[in-house]
Amino acid sequence: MSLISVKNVTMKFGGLTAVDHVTLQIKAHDICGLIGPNGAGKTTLFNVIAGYYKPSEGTIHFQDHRIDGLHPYQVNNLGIARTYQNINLFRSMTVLENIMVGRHPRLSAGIAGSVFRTPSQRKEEQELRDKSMEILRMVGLQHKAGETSRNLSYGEQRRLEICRGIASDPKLLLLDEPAAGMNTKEKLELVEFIRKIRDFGITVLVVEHDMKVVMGLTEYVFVLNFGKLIAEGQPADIQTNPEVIKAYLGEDV
Amino acid sequence: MFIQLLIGAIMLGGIYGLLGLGYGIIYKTSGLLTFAQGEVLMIGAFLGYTFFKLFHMPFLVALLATVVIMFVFGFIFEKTIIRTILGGGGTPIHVVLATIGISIALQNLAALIWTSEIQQFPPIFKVEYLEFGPIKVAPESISGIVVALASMVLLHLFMNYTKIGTAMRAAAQDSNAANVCGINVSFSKGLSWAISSALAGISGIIIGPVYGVYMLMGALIGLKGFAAAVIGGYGNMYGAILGGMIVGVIETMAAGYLSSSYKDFIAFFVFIVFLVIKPTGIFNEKIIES
Amino acid sequence: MARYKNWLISLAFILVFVGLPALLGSNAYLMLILSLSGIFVIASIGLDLLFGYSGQISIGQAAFYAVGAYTSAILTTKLGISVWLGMLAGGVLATVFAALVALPICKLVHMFLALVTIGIGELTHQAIINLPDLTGSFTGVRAIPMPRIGGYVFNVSSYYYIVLALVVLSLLVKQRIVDSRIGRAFIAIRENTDAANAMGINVTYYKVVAFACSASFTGIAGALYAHYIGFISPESFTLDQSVLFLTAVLCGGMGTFVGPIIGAVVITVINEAIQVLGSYQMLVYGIFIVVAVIYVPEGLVGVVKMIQRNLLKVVNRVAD
Repeated sequence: MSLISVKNVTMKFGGLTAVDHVTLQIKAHDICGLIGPNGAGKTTLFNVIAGYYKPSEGTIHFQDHRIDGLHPYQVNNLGIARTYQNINLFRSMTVLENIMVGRHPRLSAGIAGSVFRTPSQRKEEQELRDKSMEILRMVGLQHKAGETSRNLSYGEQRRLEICRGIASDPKLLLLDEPAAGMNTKEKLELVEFIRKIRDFGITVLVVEHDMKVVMGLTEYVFVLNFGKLIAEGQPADIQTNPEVIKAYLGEDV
Repeated sequence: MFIQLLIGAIMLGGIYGLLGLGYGIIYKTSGLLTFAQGEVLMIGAFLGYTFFKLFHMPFLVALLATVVIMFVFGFIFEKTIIRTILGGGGTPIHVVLATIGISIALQNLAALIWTSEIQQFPPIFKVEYLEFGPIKVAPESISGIVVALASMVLLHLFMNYTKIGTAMRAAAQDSNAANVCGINVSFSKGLSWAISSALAGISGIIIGPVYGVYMLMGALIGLKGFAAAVIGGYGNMYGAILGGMIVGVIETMAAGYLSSSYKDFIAFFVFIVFLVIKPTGIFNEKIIES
Repeated sequence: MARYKNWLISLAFILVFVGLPALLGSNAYLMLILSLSGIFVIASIGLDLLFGYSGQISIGQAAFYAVGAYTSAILTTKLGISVWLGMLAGGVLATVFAALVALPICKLVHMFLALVTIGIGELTHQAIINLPDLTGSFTGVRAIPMPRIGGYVFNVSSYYYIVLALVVLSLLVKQRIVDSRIGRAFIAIRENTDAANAMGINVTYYKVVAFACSASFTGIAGALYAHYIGFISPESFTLDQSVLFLTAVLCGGMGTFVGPIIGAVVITVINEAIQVLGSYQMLVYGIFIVVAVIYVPEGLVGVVKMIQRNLLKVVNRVAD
């Protein structure tokens, strides 16, 4: 039973085809990798799934819902969260506030509730703070809850962005190069963190360039090149797949 | 009557187009908006009036002198005030507010230097009216159209066939790349403000003889210049001219056939409709949209 | 503990302002300035929510100000309804108007949004002029009544307390909005619209809500103005008025609690102060705006924070 099913998705920008008839399925509770050389279309595919682009062709189904063409916030409401290649935090907000914003779709307070501070709104806000602190504790950022997020170190900002992603209790988390710029120790901690995320019941699709991370973390890998899906399978098989090697290194090595 | 209205419309359209051109050039080179164009037009009109009537200069000399002064004014304005604001941590909205402040100050300054009453240009030509059959046209309207057209043609030639003009277009498209090519982008920006001021000054001298010169003449015209720029495609030179003509025609026809009190309402209504339905304008200029 | 401290400070301030008229010896002119400042504060709060928090530039707030003012003025003078209801209607109508207007325009950002709001402001101004049967066009609406409670009719002095009450209420409501899910959505949209969308925030909805909230405050301020001055005409609802609101918010400091208050008071005071300059007043006003923008781009709140920081440095050095 696949959690998300991408069928024949194509994304064209004028004359450029960034994603070319990609079909893939991801099973619930898997940690999958999406790899490929630079410019292969990985981030574009993320953007299509997340609703930032409407695909030129093809469909995407998520848990029986058809999601291609939906707005990003609608895709998020259905249970898909994402992070970005370049960190996209809300820089003037505090660390805690970033998490709290992430949880937006799971809350229900409206203007009336907020202005009149109804009992249900107050309870909701208190639970929100507690839950957000809990998430921060998972990555050891709880002591920086009141810090403005732009003052955090690069590694901390990356962790915060992932936390913001899981704050909405998503079913699927799209991570775009979460290990970029990290040292070895941080990468190991990241892998541990992602495994913990999966233990919460969240399915993960990771775009990564660091092959060690991909091999150590993922259970199934999809390979894109020039927008096409050229291979998929278990990490060990992908490593020795000649098509994949050719894609990364040019002609037969 | 239609021809009569049309001539008036074309003249107004020419002015709106010149203002829209100015807005577009500034936006393209520095990404900024200025709300002082209307008042620059007004100062240009007053200067032209001063040179022509009070100093008794020949009209063309008065025109030239005004244009040169407005050109220099625009350049200095960019180098001093705009630079200072942006350098001190100001954002484009700060620049907008500053130009609003300048426009308010200029209005008052004009009233102090000259007077707050309407001043009339003495006739420039020996004939008061040109007659083509049933149509009576003031020669100032025709000369206004000619001057506007000449300015547009000169600007087009400058931007496309001179080294400086091409450098300006390059700087407008990609200032980093232009810098790397050795183009003085900073000078380009100053030049763009200078040209816009000159265009506004010319507009003032075109409209002064026709409608009179007074402190508040620039306010509404300045806003309609925005309409011209948006309708044509903000930043597009030829779009500004087309947009100006459209605004001029709509406004004049509305005043002529409906009622003159509705003309501003209709002009702004069209402006808003374009911003909402087709903000990229007729020539499809890129804009930032959420 | 910190929450009680804030409550106490607020209460102290409120008491000071309640007692102010007695201290000032009922100087009518100063009361005028205080009341006008208060009305301006409410309008500035409206613009701050829209621009400072949700990041949407508006140089057309005078439109909402006008809808609030004219609605209340017309309903109370032509239909004789109670002033309180009239003011409420003014606020409601301004809110609805803003919501309708915001829907098509909120997709625009930055300069284009500024331009379209100017257009909306001008259009509203023109509409007022061109509907003489409703608004009296240039003649305006006269004899706008003062509010009453039972047999007591307010006057220009006691009106101050109505304004004060509404200022306190506005600040309270603003804080609650800002400190809630709604406020967080606003700030997220301002900081990073795409990321906000990806976090499940319906950007269009919240942008429209921001406009609507902004208009609620500004519309009520307009109604307050109408009943205070007793007479309104199209001249008070031009682009100049919208510029005043923007100047107040920029010069005070956006996205802060005290910013709009400081800005509104400063602008009102300066507006009155330059009257003495006669024919030079607009020149000085224009130059003031330019100087303020150059030297205080963060607003006076930024200056206050800087003074705080420097004071702290001095104190620390002395303590060593």
